[in-house]
Amino acid sequence: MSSTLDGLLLGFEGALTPELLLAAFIGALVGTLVGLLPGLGSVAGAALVLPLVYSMEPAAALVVIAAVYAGTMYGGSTTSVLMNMPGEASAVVATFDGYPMTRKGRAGAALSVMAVGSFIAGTIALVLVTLLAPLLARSALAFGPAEYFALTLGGLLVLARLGGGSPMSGLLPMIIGLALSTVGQEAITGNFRFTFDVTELSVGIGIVPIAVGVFGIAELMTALEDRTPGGRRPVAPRLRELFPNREEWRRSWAPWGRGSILGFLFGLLPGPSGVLSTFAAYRVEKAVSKHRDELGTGAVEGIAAPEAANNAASMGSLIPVLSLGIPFSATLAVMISAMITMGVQPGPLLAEQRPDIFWGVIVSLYVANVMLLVLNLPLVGVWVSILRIPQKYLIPGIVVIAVIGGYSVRGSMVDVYVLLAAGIVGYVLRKLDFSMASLIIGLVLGPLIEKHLREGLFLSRGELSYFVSTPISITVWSLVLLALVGGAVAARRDRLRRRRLAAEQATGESRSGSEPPVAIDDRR
Amino acid sequence: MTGAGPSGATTPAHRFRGKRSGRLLVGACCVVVAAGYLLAALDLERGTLASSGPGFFPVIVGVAFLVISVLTVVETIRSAPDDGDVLPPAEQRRTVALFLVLTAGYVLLLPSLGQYLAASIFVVLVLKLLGVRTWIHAVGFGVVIAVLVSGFFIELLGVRMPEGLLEGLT
Repeated sequence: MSSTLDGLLLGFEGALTPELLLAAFIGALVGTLVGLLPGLGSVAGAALVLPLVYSMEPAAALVVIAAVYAGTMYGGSTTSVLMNMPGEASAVVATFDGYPMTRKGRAGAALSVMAVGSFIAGTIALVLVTLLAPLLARSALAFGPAEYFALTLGGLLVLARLGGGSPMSGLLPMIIGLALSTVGQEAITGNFRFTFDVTELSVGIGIVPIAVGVFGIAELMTALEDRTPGGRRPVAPRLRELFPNREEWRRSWAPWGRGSILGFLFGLLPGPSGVLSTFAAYRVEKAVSKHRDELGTGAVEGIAAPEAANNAASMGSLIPVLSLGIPFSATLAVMISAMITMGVQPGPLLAEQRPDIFWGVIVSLYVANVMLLVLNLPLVGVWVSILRIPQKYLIPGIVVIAVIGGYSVRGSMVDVYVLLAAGIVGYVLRKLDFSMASLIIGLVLGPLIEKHLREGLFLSRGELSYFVSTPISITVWSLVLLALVGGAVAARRDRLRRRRLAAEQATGESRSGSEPPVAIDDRR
Repeated sequence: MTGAGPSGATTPAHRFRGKRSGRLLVGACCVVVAAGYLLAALDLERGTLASSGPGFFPVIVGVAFLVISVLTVVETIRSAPDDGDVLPPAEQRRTVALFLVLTAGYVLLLPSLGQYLAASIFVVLVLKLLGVRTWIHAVGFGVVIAVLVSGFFIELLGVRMPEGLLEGLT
């Protein structure tokens, strides 16, 4: 325990140096800006800053990425509250009560509740991360290829399956990601695979062009379809409106606490924890809040709980990244890729070998939340001014930034071509309801899955039963099976219910001689 | 092929449109790509279970890719019909297509024209496409946006980009 406290102090000591404070400041500002811009979310934001942070010290670089992550979430929710336009999927719930609050003239209070809630969630999650991460890292020291194989492949399968939509909506992008991960020089024998004599491909397909293409360019193309002339004009809340009244404060405490715990638990699991935790927190409020009847009409609980959950989930999801080296979200996959590029090996040894980075990242995400609290509320006028810039001026500028980001990582035009191709493929797949996070995570986890599989087979002399030979691997695979089967059963029940409803509707309509039945899309 | 859908009242033409036909097409394309990937993977040295070669993992991925692609097609055929039209209305479709053409042009011209010139031309044309009224406005705003964004990264942050025609001048 004392070493944990020492580590935490080391983290604060590192994060409170002028260099890392500046890194957190810049990251939080850039992140908020990225979250506000159309088409860019946390994945593209983190990927775009990668080329810029490679020249920094690893700790500072990771702080920037962590702060961008926190900032994009805040920026995304700001557009939800002010304009009813969620910046990313995890900010959708913020529209339910955030925008009605804006219409009631309480936009400033909603933004403050979000920012304070993120800070409180960050504090609660920091305590939990501090307790759990070193514990898990110590246990993980005993992990071998069997355990890691179960965690990486099992986690990826659960993530792909539970990401929403039909089974293949997650599995197809996942396998595309895995296939892309095999391009380039193979780590063990040094052979080149699928490079087609293109020298640039020998180092593999980069995560930056794929992430920026799939989450940036594709999103911009979608935004082009949805341009309303003039658009919504957000109004800047006045300074005195920024403070929630006594009633709003009083009603926020419990949802902040509930959302924080729930979000943290979601963060530990594979899956889109940001989205799931916000919806789950909202449902919990619907069930337990004293003011549940007001939810959806501008109730402060509807913004306090989901925002706290979203932030706690992002902190919680750092645990598998830092302790095991396994990212369970696309943004953290980008962070892992940055760590590896900078020679930092994430995993159970990180806390011991590079405590400055291990604790620095945890503390800096917290510091970034404080930065957001201190900076973003006074700057709300600036953010509103940015939101007022017509999209037509922003979109081409964002493409230019994306191309610069794609090219500059390795100075390769091939990466820019990959970015363009990823944008087109991403646009098509998103339009068809495929879940793209599993593609990015598949791309990052592919080499790890291959490594653990081949190491395991080598150690066991080709014995496949080795992979289910230890209590941990058996437990992990059982949980994976449970999640997959449970998810399938729940989806089937939902489908049958919808079909029954559709059939009932059809019978009713045919009796009344109306239009033919409208079938329900069972992918949703 | 048409199989009875859940509602049992749909025609083949109704069943394959919008998102369904799109997913079917994506599934079919992936079957072809997966088959090609698997064939290429089979050319690599696979080794044995105990001492696997570079082709070992790609073959597993290739088989899984093929199976998942086929299952995507099957899943689409078996799913209920939808009424959602995947394509945007004609005007937006044209905008998206032209935006894509301009982005591709920017990327292709980048090595020869260099970042400043290629980005300026791209931004000017996209601004015009997205409704900036006069060419003077488009050129004015476009060049300023492109030069400011590019200059920030190249001059301020030291990011290296192709210089193209301006090589030696910047």
